[in-house]
Amino acid sequence: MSGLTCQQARNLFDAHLNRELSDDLSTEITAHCLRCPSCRQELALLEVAGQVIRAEHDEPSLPDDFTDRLVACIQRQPVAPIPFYRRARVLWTAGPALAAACLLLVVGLWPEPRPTHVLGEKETREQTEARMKPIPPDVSLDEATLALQERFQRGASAARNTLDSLGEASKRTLRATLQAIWPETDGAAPIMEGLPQPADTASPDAAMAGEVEDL
Amino acid sequence: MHVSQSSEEGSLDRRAEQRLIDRAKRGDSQALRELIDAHKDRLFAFLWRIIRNHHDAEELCQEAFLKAFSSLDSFSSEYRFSTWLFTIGYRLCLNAMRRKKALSGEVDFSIFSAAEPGADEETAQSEEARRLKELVWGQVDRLSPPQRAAVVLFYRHEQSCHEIAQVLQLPVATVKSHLHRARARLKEMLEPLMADDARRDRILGELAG
Ligand SMILES: [Zn+2]
Repeated sequence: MSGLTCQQARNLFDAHLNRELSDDLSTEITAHCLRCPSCRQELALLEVAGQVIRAEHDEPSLPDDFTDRLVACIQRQPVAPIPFYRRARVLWTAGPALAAACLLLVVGLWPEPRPTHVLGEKETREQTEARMKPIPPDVSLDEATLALQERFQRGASAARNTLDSLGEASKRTLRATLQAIWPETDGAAPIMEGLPQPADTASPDAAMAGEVEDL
Repeated sequence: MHVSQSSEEGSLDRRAEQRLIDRAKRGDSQALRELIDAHKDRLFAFLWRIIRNHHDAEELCQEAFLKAFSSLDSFSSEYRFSTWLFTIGYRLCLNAMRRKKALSGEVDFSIFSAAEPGADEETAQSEEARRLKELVWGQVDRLSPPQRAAVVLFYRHEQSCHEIAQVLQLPVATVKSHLHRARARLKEMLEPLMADDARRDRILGELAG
C-alpha cells in the first residue's frame, strides 16, 4: 500500500493534532511528513503555538491565604455572593442610558406585592427600605438564593404588565441590562419572555466572538 | 509526550476525589480544603487566561468554588470534579465579561497590553524564544473567548475535545472548529517569521502539489 497523498495527510492534520487518530494513522502522517517538506513545514507551524502554550508557566498565582479565606467563607454560610441590592446599585451607576431600564427593574424587584404599581411612580421611604433590606446573614446560601428569586418573581408579574408601554428600543436595552446583572439565575426568565431577542446577540458565544474578532 | 488525561489532576485519583466530595457534602472542612488546594491553581490560571485581569480572576475563582460547593448535591460523579468546576468558572467568566461590557459599553482594551505578571521575568531564555512566546500569547489574547478557552484547555490543561465540550457547553464539533480556526490564525501569524528559504521550500512544495 502506498502512503498518504498531501491532501489526505492534510485532511488528517486536525484529528492528528487533536490526538484522535489511531497510532497507525499517526504514523502514516509522520511517514508522509518525513518525505514531504511542504507538509512537514505546515504541520510544524500548526504545532508551534501548542508547544509554546503547553510550556507556559508564567501565570500569576493566587494569594497564599486563598484557601483559608474560602473555607472560612463557606463555613460562615454566607448569603448569595452578590446580593440583589448590590447588583441594583451597580445598575444605578451605569449612566443615564440605562435609566428607563433601571426604573422598570426597580418595579421588578419590588419585594412586597404591588400588582398595580405604575412605571415611574415615586416610591415611599418604607418601600425603599423594604426593597433594600438585606437578606439576614444567618441564612444559608440556598435559602438566600431562594429568597432572592422569590422577591424577583413576585415583582416580575407587575413588571411584565408595564412592558407593553415600552418602545422596542427600550425593551432591547432592558433585556441586555437584565442579562448583564442577572446572569447566573433564571430569576429574570419571566421578564425575558416578554422581551424581544436582539438579532445580534441570539447566541451569546457568537456575539462575544464577534466583539473580539472584529478588533 | 504529554502527560495522559487521567494523571492530570495531580495527586487526586477519581476514587479519592469521590471520597473527598462525600466528606465535603457533610461539611468536613478538611475535605473542602483538600479539594480547593487540588484545583485552585489550575482554575485560577485558566480564568486568568480568559479574563486577563488578576483581581477579576481571583474573584471568579472564589465564586466558582462557592457555587460548586453550594450545589455539591447536584454534582454527578460521572464527571470529573475539575470539569464541573471549570464549567462553572467559565460560565461565570463569560457573565462577568458580558456585564463589564454592558456597563462600559465597550471592550476592555487593557487586555491587549500584556503587562500582567510574568511578562518580564524571563531569565534563561533567548531573545528569540522570548519573542516567540510574546507573539503566541499576544495572538491567543486576540482570539474570541471560546476559541481562547478551547486552546488554553487543550494545550495548557491537557483536556480532550470531549472534556472541553463539557466545560464550554458546546457540541464537540464546535470545539474542534474553534481549535481548527485558532490554529489557523496562530499559524498565519507565525508564517512571516519563517526564514526565507523555508518559505521558498514550502511554496515550491505547494506548487509541486
Ligand atoms: Zn505532503
